[in-house]
Amino acid sequence: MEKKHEGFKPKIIAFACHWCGVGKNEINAIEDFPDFRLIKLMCSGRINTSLILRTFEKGADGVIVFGCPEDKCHYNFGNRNAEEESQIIKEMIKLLGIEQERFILELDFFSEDDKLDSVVNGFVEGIKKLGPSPIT
Amino acid sequence: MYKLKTALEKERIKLFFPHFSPDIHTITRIEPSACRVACPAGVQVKAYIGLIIAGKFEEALELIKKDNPLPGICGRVCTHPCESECNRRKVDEAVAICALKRFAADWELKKQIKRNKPIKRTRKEKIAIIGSGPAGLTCANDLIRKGYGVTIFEKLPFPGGMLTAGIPAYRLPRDVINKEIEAIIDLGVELKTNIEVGKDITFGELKKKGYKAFFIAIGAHMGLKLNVPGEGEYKGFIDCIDFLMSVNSGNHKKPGRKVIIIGGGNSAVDSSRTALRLGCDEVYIVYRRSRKEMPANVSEIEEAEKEGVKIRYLAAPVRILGENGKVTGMECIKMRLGEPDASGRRRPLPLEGTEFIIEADTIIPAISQKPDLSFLPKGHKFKLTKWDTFEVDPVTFATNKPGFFSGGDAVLGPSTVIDAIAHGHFAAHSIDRYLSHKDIKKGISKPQPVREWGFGLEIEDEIPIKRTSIPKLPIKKRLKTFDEVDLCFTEEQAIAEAKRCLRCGHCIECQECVSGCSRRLVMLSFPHKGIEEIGRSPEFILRVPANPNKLPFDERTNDMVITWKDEKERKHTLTLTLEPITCFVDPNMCRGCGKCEEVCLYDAIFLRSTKDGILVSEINETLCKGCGTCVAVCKTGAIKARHFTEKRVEQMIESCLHSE
Repeated sequence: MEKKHEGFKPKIIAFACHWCGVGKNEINAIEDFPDFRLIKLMCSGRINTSLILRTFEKGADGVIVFGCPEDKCHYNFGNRNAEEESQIIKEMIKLLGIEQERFILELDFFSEDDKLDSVVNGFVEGIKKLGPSPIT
Repeated sequence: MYKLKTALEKERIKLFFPHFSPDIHTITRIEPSACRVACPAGVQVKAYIGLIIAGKFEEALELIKKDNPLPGICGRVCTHPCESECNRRKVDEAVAICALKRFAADWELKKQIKRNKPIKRTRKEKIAIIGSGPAGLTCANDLIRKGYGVTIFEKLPFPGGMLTAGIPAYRLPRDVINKEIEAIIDLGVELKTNIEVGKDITFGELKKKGYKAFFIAIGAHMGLKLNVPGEGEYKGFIDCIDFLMSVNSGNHKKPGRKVIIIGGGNSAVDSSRTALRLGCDEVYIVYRRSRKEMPANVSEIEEAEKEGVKIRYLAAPVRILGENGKVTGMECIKMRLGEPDASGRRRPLPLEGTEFIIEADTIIPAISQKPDLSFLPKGHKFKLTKWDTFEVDPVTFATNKPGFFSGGDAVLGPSTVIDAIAHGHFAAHSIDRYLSHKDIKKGISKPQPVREWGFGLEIEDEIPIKRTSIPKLPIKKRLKTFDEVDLCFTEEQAIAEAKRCLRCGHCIECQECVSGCSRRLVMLSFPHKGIEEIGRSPEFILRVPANPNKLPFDERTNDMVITWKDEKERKHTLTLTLEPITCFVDPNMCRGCGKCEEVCLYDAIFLRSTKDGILVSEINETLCKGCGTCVAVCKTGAIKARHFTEKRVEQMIESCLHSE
């Protein structure tokens, strides 16, 4: 299976919260990963099912959302909103035939020093194993 | 690559990076269209068809004239290789490209728009062009626009070469030729008719007069021999070029009662239809292969048959018969087709014992022509091919003698107008480089072959639409006069026909955006210099960095500065400003509840009473961080965020996914 997708360059869209991520070096460094495209939103709670489905429809191979840890949200309720929404999204994409692993919500990435690196690398490797998105 | 699926993706012009102001749009252009690649002169077919749809006929003609200075002539007699490559053929029939070009050219003739003004001379070098056919005229047009002094020498008393001498008026009216030649002469080209270079004036004398470069475009005017017994012995045996030339110069005497024409090219069909118009009773064409192999335009053959020309296929002349010094007939032999030869056509082989005789009093051979080289001085050192044509470099069109260039039929043998025009362009480009003391071979590449065009083409959804047939003069009216047979499209017909174009490759390259942008910010560039400057470019791009993530963005000033250099090494800069991320209040909707004031973390919102005594909240934009808490809290929807609207986020996703 792995050989089949050799040379495949995934296109991954990363949505990041304005308050915990953008402006800080850790998240901006994502732009240097060749497979990632960073889009900043005001809050991780801004994502909804239609937005993520649109992203897959337009040709993304994977979507990752970065948000603030619990009870550190700028708006108090934004990350809870994102978590609820992500459950629905995972169910929806499964119904549509997209693998669930193509979408993750990451709210706890700066609790440890190298957490971000391991999360990002693990995600890219997972996508590379899965191959191109079935929609494109 | 991505499939072009939604209507949004079909749009050619896209917002480049929605965060920035002013908005930057990019133009998607995938490949040059097949029609343009097929055209020897690289005429921007898709572009002028697009302009015709928009009703911009003048702009369409302007664009055609960039690559083809003789649109009216080409619109009538071109062999249109573009139509044979048209992708519309996969749906139904090719777009009538040639007729549309003619429509644009005729539209100008009808309106009689301003005449060309002479171009200021900026170079002291003079160039002599020998022959005023399409190749010579194109070369003169290009060189005079580059600022050189150009003189055309013509042997015949009238300019136009084979256009005037060889093509009958019912296909190409004289006033069309005259007007298009006039337009080139108006630019400041000197035209000297009745002068044969080599006889009336020698090359040495011309060099002494200050001519630095020569373009030999003498065409192919000498008929080839049939090599059969009896050829040329009797009266009534006329070569087709002599015949057409005498008719075209006004001699409308009929050559005989029964006429045989030998050959299957356009000049044979032209001769037959001319003979009918002169009042000949019976006109035969004898051709040694079958109809499929006939090189003449299919529509011409059809029209000739409708007018009453009889065509004998698979027959070849054996002997010319004559009595008392006059032609009485021709002995022919039946042929069959054998294996394909080097030209790809099947070789005709004679069938023994099938000779037959056709009676006639005039025989016109129209088999092929070669250049008449009698003007060259004895002991000239030009390299020639075995067909008596000039041997030239296939890309630069330079002969073996420095300063001498050649093109058109003098190089190809009898060929098409559009090929001659292409040669004129390439030779003009080489002459310019030669006189500027640049290496003429450097920077010039061979034109690319036609590629299979397929990306993004969705022909399944296309509804077949019938090709608009070209209106024609009724047959009864035709046969007495030399009036033009094919008529022009009306405006409605032209627009309807142009709409059949599939516009392969998104951007149609009309360049209206370049001239339309008052601030000169749109630049379409040809990345490769050399021949591409003439108009055959594989890529055609807006020069802005393609990856929005790598933009040179300065966070302190919220500015992004893009610098680039154009072809002339001039530096351009473009500053884009990131709009501040703030919220705003619609005062008509605010009811002054004050919830936003409570919730704002930055003390950016306060309530203010208006003149009428109503409380309205207001935002201090300096303090606002655009976090959007107030937007979420507002019950009436009066507060909105400037950024991160659904539409903008969607556009951001799109631009991210489509950047490489």
